[in-house]
Amino acid sequence: MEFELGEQAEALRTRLRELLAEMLPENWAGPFSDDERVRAVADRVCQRLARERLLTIDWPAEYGGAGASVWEQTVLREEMWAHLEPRGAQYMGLSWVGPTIMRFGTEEQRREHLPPIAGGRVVWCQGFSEPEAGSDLGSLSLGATRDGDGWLLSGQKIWTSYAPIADWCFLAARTARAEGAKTHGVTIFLVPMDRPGVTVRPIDSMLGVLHLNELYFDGARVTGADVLGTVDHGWEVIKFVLGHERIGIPRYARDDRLLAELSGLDGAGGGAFGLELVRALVHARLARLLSYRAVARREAGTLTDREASTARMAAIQLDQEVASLALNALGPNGIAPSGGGELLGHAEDIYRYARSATIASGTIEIQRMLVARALTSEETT
Amino acid sequence: MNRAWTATAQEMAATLRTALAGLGGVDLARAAEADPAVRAARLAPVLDSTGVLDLDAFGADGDEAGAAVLAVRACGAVVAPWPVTRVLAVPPAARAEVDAVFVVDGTPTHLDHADLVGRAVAVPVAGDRVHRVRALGGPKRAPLDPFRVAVALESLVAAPVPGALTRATVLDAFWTAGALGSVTRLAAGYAADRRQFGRPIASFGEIRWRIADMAVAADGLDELSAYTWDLARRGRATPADALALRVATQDAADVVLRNGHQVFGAIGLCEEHDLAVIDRHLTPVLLRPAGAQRTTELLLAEVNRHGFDALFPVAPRDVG
Ligand SMILES: Cc1cc2nc3c(=O)[nH]c(=O)nc-3n(C[C@H](O)[C@H](O)[C@H](O)COP(=O)(O)OP(=O)(O)OC[C@H]3O[C@@H](n4cnc5c(N)ncnc54)[C@H](O)[C@@H]3O)c2cc1C
Repeated sequence: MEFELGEQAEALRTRLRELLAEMLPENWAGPFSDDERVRAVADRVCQRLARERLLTIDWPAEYGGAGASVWEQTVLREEMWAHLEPRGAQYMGLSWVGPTIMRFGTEEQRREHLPPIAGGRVVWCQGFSEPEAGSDLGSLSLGATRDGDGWLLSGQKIWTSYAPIADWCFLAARTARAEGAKTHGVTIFLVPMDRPGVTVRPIDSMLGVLHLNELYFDGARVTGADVLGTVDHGWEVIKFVLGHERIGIPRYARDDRLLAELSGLDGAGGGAFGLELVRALVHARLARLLSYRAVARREAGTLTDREASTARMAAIQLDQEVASLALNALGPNGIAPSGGGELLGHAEDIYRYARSATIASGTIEIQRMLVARALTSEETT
Repeated sequence: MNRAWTATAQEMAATLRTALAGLGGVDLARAAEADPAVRAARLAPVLDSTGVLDLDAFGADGDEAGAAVLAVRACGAVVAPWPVTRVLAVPPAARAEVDAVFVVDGTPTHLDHADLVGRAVAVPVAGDRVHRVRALGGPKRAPLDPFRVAVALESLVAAPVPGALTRATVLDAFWTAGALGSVTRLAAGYAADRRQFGRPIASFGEIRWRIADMAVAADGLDELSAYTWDLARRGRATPADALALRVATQDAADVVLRNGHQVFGAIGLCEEHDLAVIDRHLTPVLLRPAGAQRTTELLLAEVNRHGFDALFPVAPRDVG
């Protein structure tokens, strides 16, 4: 039993910090802004990481990866999140679209999609949620009706992050009425966002631009070549995707950085603020360790809902705890963004976004349900 | 990163678990509470025969050190009535002169099981003035302190006990993790069995919520205990690391015990139920040397003095 991530992983951390210090502008506030110049930074970061073979370090070598250890991969995710995700919206392609296409794609699909993802040149969005299918994703109903050798898509997706800037959509549609299980009859399509009949409508939200959008399909045509995996058996693919997403973002990494900055404030050495701060430090360490447990279990092929969702629960609650602590510590001075190189200058943005931590990618209630179910079945079998 | 306990360590712990189960599990704690002589008569021989009390929980031998903390965890799982953690907190080099270490905050009037360890010392949670502990008679039971023994702190001991805070804290954390693991398992099993309104109570959202919170707390403590133990074995655990674990131990116990009781309803309050016994018997472990507020203050003082290791480490503060 030992917890060191290893020399290579720590060396990678140092290298990434140097690289980001060099590439990120002074007042870097993350890529999710209207400003084209800001998004250009994300593109530059991705392409630089790609040149240095760091963008897809966890991919197998045959797809341009460096076959990095799971801990190097963890370090990469931690450093990216801690620095406000300088890869921008590309991270989805890297973290799950690419691996899913490797697993389920045809040779042609792999050739078409993997190189641009690995090169940091493409943005994907995830078209799963619908107005009537949120937590209950299996009840999704966006229709794909037969039309000659293809299908016509009609219906709506919602909450689709980055849809306005996405090149491709990873779309779940219903090709058949559910028989038996309601998840039967779902098919995954890889749809270019410029296909006729696809429209995006941004939703004005407290999170800021790009995060939430509506996505309409009005007779957009897809063919067998656009299908990922098997027709009507898309739920298999969705399960694989959710499996990749389930350990989730290493939120504790940014929280660690924010806590380190908070500890430098006047007043952090004592009083109620000091006590809350050290408690949050303990919670951040716990969240990191639970996440490491889940990563190790996934690597060993023994990950269950218990490890995946306890890690998520700890991390998302930490995110909200630290965001509140930061905004309250700053008081009225923190309500408006003050910019600068420190995370604390973006405390209000972090606070707004933290409202979604317990909702996005499966709500905390669903995580709790999964953990409880895992435990009760462990005790009854 | 290697998150596996060695096979040898696991085997030794399994042997002890079987032996403890043979003594009745939590029933042994019940029996000892009714008659403290049970501790020496029934538990001591098992601890002797398995060699648990001679192990070095922080030494270079991974099998032995792992076996020691897993043994502590197994004892905690049934709140075995013996000061195992106090004995193992003594560094091997000091065992010729010292039988047990109690970490104290100020001058305690009582310590648990102090009558069982002849040459015990008291080490302050902050500072290094080590005193001998003299037990004044046998246990005088209180509901939340079943083996409390009146003590007097006597003459100063010349040699300090290095790393006492870290060792004691890590061992207490494993003990508590064992107890909380038992409670979590009991609650999950009960939720699946107990039916109300025609359904298992595990199908109610509120009960699932509680069980999930218990799992996060108990599993988190398991991880942090092992992590801090690993730091301590490398000689890298600071007092802040130890106190962070202590804060997590107290927090986890609060979440698990409160929610555990709620899942059981009235039956969990009965003395014949293991939950009630584990809850009461764990309390002294959680409150000595200090309660949650004071422990957090001690942590803050250490973080100010030495900083705190993290992905973005907290720097020490200039405290005048
Ligand atoms: C920032 C953000 C980005 C997102 N990006 C995307 C994206 O890119 N693509 C995409 O497809 N989706 C995306 N989502 C959608 C996200 O997956 C859903 O919001 C989530 O699955 C919950 O669905 P819902 O919002 O419809 O809430 P609902 O499912 O309607 O839930 C409302 C409340 O009811 C609770 N609830 C529901 N069912 C149960 C139950 N069985 N037991 C107990 N409580 C229950 C929920 O926990 C929640 O508290 C995003 C969401 C957010 C916030």
